[in-house]
Amino acid sequence: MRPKKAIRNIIYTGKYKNQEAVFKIYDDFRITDEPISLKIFNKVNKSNILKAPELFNYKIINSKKGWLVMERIPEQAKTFKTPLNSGEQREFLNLFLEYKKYFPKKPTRDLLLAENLSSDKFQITRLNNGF
Amino acid sequence: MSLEKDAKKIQEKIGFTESKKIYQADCAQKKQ
Repeated sequence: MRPKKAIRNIIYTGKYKNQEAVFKIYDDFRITDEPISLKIFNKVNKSNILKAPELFNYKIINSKKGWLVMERIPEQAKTFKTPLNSGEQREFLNLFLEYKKYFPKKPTRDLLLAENLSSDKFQITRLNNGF
Repeated sequence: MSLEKDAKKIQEKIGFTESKKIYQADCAQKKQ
């Protein structure tokens, strides 16, 4: 178990190679593959309406620790705020379907032992282990 | 070394010019 005041991650805004960017450093007690997930999603995502931030740079120190620099989403980017009206609900569902359409259907990396469990067993294990 | 100090060191090395810290997540204690 980690000390009470341990910090899991910190996010900064700033500039990287003259572009508005976000720097995130993480040291989590859980396994994370955020930079790889983002990189692979951007590679397979062909949507014109649903974009993820571009990954500018990253380093994975180990399975729980690393950092990444990614594109900063512009202030004017559209976000949903609840409660959604019926038009916004429809728009959200369309975007969700778009996301499902381009999200990789099969794992893009070797799975961990726990990730090979069925979804119900995986969730039970996850809840019991706190990961 | 703290995560914050690590961040400053990496930012300097890669040429990221920080303007603002916008988020910090603290570790939640696992319930026994």
